[in-house]
Amino acid sequence: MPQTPILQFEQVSKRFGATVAVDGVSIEIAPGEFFALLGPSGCGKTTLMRMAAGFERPDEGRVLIDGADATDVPPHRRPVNMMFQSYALFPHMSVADNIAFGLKAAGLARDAIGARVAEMVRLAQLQGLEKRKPHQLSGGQKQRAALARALARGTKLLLLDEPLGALDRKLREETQFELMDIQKRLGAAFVVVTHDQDEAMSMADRIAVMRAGQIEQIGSPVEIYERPRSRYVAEFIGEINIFEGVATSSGDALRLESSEGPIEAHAPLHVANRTAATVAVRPERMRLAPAGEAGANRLAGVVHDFAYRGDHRIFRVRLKSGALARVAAPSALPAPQPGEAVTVAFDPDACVVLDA
Amino acid sequence: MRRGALSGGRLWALLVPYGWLALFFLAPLALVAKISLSKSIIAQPPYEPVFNLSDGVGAWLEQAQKFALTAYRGLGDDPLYLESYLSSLAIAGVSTALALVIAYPLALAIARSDPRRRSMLIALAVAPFWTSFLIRVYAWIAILKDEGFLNLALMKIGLIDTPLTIYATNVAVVIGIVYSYLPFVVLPIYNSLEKQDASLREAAADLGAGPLATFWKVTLPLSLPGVIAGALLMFIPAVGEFVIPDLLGGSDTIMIGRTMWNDFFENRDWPAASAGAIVLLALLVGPIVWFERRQSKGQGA
Repeated sequence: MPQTPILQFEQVSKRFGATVAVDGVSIEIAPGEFFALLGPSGCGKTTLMRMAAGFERPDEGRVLIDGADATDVPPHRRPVNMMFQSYALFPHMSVADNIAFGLKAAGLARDAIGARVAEMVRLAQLQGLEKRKPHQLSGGQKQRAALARALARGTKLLLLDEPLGALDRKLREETQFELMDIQKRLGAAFVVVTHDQDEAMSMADRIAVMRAGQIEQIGSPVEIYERPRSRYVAEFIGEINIFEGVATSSGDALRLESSEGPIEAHAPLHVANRTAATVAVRPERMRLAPAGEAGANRLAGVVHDFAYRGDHRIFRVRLKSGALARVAAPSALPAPQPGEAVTVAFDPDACVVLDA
Repeated sequence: MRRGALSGGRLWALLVPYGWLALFFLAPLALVAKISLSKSIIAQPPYEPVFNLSDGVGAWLEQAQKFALTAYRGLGDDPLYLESYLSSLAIAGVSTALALVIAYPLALAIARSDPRRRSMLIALAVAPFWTSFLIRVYAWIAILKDEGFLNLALMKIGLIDTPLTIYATNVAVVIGIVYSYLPFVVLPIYNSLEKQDASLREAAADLGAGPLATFWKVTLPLSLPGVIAGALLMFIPAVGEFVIPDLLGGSDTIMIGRTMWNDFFENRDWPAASAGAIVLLALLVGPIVWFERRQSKGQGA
């Protein structure tokens, strides 16, 4: 028997006036899963999360928490806690009182509250800051206090709205690992809303990529990255080169006549013969070969420029049609200079055939 | 900010408010203080300064011991002043408390209403100011007197058989003060409620607090600066209120404003009345200083 999902959206829709914020979304999130809702601002990911917390009521569909219909349950009765993007720490209360708030509301005994607060303070590494007010905390400390407060009640489902959005870059990376560590230790399901693909990719077990209120693709980070289903997903996550043309397929082989030359790929079965098709290739799946190599998946070009990224360089190569291809090459290799003629080479395996 | 030589522009910018205060607050205050330290005489004006600038410090000290504090000692000996202060504080206190009870829900309702409608509701809350204050207080006489609208209405629906005596009592004074000062209390409370981050209430709900618990633990404590500001804004002028007790109060309504008026115009004892004003000011400066301290200390509290 499959596990009961801790959180389930069933054909959920939400409109604000004339705009459809969420449009017929269905997602199941397993207990203990680290799930990311990823998309640009305005794609409906925050609205979806607010429906899970109970701050918005879906116009259509149901929200189930741990198998029980929670669609009409008010926020204060839901077995869910949320970490707000602004942290929403109570400014008139100390860190300890903020953490204790949910425990007091639950009617816990005084010493039980004290013990739990101390535990959360340790977990979030807030020792020595218990008596501080929120305005006396740094950004990272506020973030940890908000996390501790949301975790204190020990609910099996935690919603995090852009949890790292307000942190600077270095702190963000550290905190990613901290969050993953805490999630593993507690075994609670984390649902993170983010617009940052790196954040989603590095933390989540599964990612739902959203676009205009709908789910574009759900999958593991590897699936989303390596086998994006649509051009939208491919372009939203990481850098990618797109080739358009007319496809001829035979069996599982596909040959695309693109303006850059012939491209061979492994074809999914649904691509019909002689139709327009799109093929995508990640920069790191390409390499730079000496000029003059010919054949399928060998595109002639001239180095336009490159950016040094430490362990690798990103080359922009001007292709025949005038388009710029992005090719990643290890920094250890000798770098062709701008103006030099090269061949952009890649395997059929590296090609992803996109839906549209 | 570094203290140092002020640039010309900054100096002028500071000079305007300080000049205003010096001219229209400090100078009259000094005048009142001077009168309060003078001797009452039968003349025009009816006081004789004890201090003259030309006398020098030595003469001042001598005079101070002889006469200067006569008016203040008089206040202590006169039970009317003590009673006036206490009664004024009581009436202003009760009125302020009642006004808070009415103003808070009003401000909360406005702050939680549709943002597009808020400015209209605020305009309605201050709409009474568009009519002359005096006329509105007179209107209360028509409502509260024995054969007034209130008694007629209450008798008509059979709640009472004989008219209630409200007009010319302290109750009428309290009603008048609450009515007149209500907008001054609503506005600061509304302001602090409207500024409150809605996500704080969501966070409270998310952590399991119901609407009532959220109000007591989050909304109300965070709006306290507005509540205190509104209360002071009403309490301080209400203590010295003269017109409302004069129009709505009875002969047994004693408020300090009236007592001072009597001393000025009936008894022509300017020093006593001035001393009364100075003592009242001293009484009221306390709460203001306390509030200022609290404001500057408790950032975000």
